[in-house]
Amino acid sequence: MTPTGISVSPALQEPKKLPAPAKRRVPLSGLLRSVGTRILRSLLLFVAVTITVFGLSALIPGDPAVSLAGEGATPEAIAAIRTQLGLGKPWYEQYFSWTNGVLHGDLGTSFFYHTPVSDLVMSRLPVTLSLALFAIIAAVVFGILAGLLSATRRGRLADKITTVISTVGIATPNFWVGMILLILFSLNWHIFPAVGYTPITKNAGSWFMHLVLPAIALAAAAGAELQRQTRSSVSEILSQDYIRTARAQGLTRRKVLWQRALKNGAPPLATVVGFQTAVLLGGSVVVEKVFSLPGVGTLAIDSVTLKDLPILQAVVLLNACFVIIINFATDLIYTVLNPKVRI
Amino acid sequence: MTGAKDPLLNVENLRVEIDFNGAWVPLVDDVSFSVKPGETLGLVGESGSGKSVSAMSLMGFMGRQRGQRLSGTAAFQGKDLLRLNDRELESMRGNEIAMVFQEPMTSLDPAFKVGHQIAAGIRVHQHVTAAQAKEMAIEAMDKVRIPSARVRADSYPHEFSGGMRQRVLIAMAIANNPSMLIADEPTTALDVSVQAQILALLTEMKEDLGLAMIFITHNMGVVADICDRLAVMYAGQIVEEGDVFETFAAPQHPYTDRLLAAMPSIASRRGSLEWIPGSPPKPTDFPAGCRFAPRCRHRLDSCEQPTTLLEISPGRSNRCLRGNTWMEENES
Repeated sequence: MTPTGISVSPALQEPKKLPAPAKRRVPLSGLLRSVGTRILRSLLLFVAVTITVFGLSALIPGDPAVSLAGEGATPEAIAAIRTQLGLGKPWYEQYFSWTNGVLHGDLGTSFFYHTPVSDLVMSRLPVTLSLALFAIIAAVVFGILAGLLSATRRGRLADKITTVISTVGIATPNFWVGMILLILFSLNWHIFPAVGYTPITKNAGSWFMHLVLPAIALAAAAGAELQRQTRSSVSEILSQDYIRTARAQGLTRRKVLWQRALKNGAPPLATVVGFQTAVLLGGSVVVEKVFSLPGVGTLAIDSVTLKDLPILQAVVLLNACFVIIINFATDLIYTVLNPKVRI
Repeated sequence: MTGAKDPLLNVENLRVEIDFNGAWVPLVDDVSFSVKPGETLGLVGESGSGKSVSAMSLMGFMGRQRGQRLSGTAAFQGKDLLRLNDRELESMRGNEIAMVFQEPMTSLDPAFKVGHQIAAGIRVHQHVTAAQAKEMAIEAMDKVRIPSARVRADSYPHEFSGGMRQRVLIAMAIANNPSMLIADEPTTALDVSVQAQILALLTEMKEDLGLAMIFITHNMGVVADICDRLAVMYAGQIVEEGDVFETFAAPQHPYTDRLLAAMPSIASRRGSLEWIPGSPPKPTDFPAGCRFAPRCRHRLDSCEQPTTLLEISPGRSNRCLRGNTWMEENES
């Protein structure tokens, strides 16, 4: 008998000269369009943010001018505030004149300091940006390294220890981490300065030393989150068939981990990094206060105590803009990293 | 046929065990076979019979992790594959022995262009520049008849069909001119018409490049198409080994006989499909005697004794305790 389940018929020996498959590479216009959509979405979000921030003044009970001026204010002071807020005019006119100011970099004048809010914020911004950048770099480096350590030693001691640390990191509020670090490393061991800030332009070493502890406090939760994400996505990737293929080609474990696993794991990691950066900016408010860093966060807290509405509006607006930009960038990076999502 | 040559690969007493709740359980046991240069050996059996485990242990993918162990020898070009260290394994893989896997849809890395993936395997073993490796990758893609290889090298795996992906994987496997290829069910996941194309391609590759091949399959039809010899595996052991034509003409082991009878064939269309009652034992319940005995229609009480694979004629071996005396019962 001729026991052939499959017979190779001559017609099939030669793979048919199929017409070259239409290139399914995404045309540039498609990429542009998706970027365009995202820009549009970000702009709409920005408009929504301005409305919300503007609406903050409406949340102040009673006559905003009176309550903002505080007890024992002179009628002149109240009138000044009234004029500055444009309280006599209809709300939409107030909104448009405020937004117009914002778009031209005029965020109003501080009630307390009597200086332009934009100057105040800009002088504080380098502190906050240094801190945030420092923290996110630390979170990314340590979070991903710890995640890779866990992923490659899954179930073993190193993985268990790392996972315990990261669980603690996620569960602990950053101000508490900050205070503990402060007590241990500054007050007890005098390794790092406890409070204050030196601009990088004056003394880079001192700048660095002042930022280490607050950055760690701020980075702890983000780093822990990244460790978890890296652990789960990389260990899943390492069990994929294509990793075995690469190993069967003779690629070393290290090469497979750093090139293949990391690139495949990058899209979800980029999303987490983006989200954590946004969270971290919010967290910096508290951490700055703990370490008495003269950043935007401290400015925000002070402005709440001082009922300095224009400053508060500016800080909220600024943070919202950062978040919008971060989300936009995350989307874009995700698209670039993942060849399949280029729609 | 290359009759007198020394074997390229000689596996003896391969045994792979896993730690199952504290006890060592053999997945594969007493497996011995050899492959000569340019020869194709079919490793046939049901799922779980140990054919993939055997192949994976030769590549260092099985038996080396925690909770696994292996014993036996696998002589290949003066080395024992089972005793290579990590570095030696890595320099052997894809260079001297290459492997093609069952699932073309998931075996290519979705995040890298296929040309890059083929080139990556070339650069591990050959001292060439990235540009040269890319050229060699395109050549390999051309060799496995991927249309407009130069353009397609810059495509991602999701832009390819299953058959084309398997071609890419074959290009990857032959890129470093290995002397042996292990193909683990390379056609199982493909459409029938594409299966035939891939089989034809593999046949062509092994002839052009003088590749020895271990072809793992559960499909006897494929064995008949492509293999020179076959080893039939059942419950972690080889039960019969021999030349394809001789074995198909006169199977020596009742399991081989049933396997061939169960194969649908238009030439011998019977009333209904043949099948083997029962199911293969799990590694934890392998019988002490003949492992096929509980399902064998020719079973005798003497089949409770341990078995060995015996050479019955040059190049043919059989594990059946009854030799071929069971055959007379078949006709009744």
